[in-house]
Amino acid sequence: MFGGSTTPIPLSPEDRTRANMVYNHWGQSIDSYEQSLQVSAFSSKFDAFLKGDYKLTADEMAGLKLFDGKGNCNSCHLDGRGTTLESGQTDTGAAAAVTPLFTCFGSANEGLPLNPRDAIYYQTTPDSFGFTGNPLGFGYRDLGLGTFLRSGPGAAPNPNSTWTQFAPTTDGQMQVSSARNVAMTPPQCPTTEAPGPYFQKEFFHNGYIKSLKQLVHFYNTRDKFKFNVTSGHCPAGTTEKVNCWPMPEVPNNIDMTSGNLGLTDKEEDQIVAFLQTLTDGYTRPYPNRDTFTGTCMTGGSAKTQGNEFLIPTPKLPPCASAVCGVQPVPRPAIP
Amino acid sequence: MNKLLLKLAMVVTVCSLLYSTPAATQVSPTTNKAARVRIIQGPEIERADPDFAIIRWTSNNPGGSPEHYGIVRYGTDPTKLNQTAKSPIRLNPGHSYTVFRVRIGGLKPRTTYYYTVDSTEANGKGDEVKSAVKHFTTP
Repeated sequence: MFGGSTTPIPLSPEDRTRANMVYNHWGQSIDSYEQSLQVSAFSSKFDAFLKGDYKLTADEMAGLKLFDGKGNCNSCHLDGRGTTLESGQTDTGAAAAVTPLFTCFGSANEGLPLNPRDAIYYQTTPDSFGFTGNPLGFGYRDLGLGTFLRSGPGAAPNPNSTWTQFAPTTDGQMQVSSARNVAMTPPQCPTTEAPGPYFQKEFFHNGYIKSLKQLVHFYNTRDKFKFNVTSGHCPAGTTEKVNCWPMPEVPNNIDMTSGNLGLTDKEEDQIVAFLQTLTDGYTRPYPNRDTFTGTCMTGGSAKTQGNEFLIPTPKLPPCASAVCGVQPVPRPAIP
Repeated sequence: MNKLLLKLAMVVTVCSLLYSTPAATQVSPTTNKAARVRIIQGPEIERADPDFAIIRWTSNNPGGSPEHYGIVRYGTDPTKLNQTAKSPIRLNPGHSYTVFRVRIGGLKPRTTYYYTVDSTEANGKGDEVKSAVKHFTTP
């Protein structure tokens, strides 16, 4: 990009310093805003529960126990609880952290299928500014942290070259998001889940998953319903996202903490109920949620939510050398 | 632009460190190591396809880094397990056991494979829980 120049706009040393200061202040402003109560409100039902000001419903409590236990979600979505929840136990322990962030700040490849609905695959020609977003088309693969470490296409130069060697062991890994506010919606659409009225969100790094029910079902059955197909090509007699999960975009380094959890349909629903307690705005208003002027969606089932918009993934060319040919290359090679 | 974004990321990171909050310290706690680390269930075949298999086993907690790798050494000759598959998992400090699951690709149909399992910390340090040699046959 910019012909390899990292300072494509010539500036005097004084103006360069001035420009850098502006960006520094910009970053500091964002950081302060994100830390403020406007964003990090900790005003959810779960926060109230931690303070003893809210009693989780039976399903929400069951979901918390599954989140910590059979679902193993809190192996990385850290909830700060100090107890080990086994079958028959209830959570009576004190919280280890009063404002748990529900992330371990790690990275993981959960094995999401390539989403052919993502615009990047079609940005193969110059836009009005002459910028071509993705000249590789469907030859592009999102190797996540691996691309960052090996300074691959679209990534800033890795600031620590001693970490470059770890690219092959981090290919496909994406930063683990907080589970907080995963169910947040605009006020007029009270849920993310069909039949709603619901607000359509996109989950995981490429938006392949369309509801929390699907999200939990993916963690639960990814390896049980694994099929060697791409999205839009599940075999006859199966339903994508219900009993057919297409192959992962990046088959390397797939996290195996989950993928075949043995959760029942009801247990999946209970985890969803728990996730819905993590939305800020319960104990006091949370005004900064996005405004939305459209109409809510209705109908259907959270299990197949969005499936009407599935399109067949075209026959994929091999991973482009601009992505998979950068040293140290992925091991094993990515098709 | 990339450099500018990198600088922004660095600034935000530095600011986060400067203005540290309790939240900033929330990283995965270390799991306590069992007195004697051993496999308490398996290894066994969770799934076997013509070209793919998942092997799973359960250990009492090996402790150490939150990130671990399940390791399977395998081959078609029980005396020559010269191939290795490994999959990352994350320990849960609240659990008294850890389920390891490893994906093996590139297998041949209707072929018997022999294998042993082990696990390591993220840095490759072994948990020393090697199993006996077992086998499975792809369909």
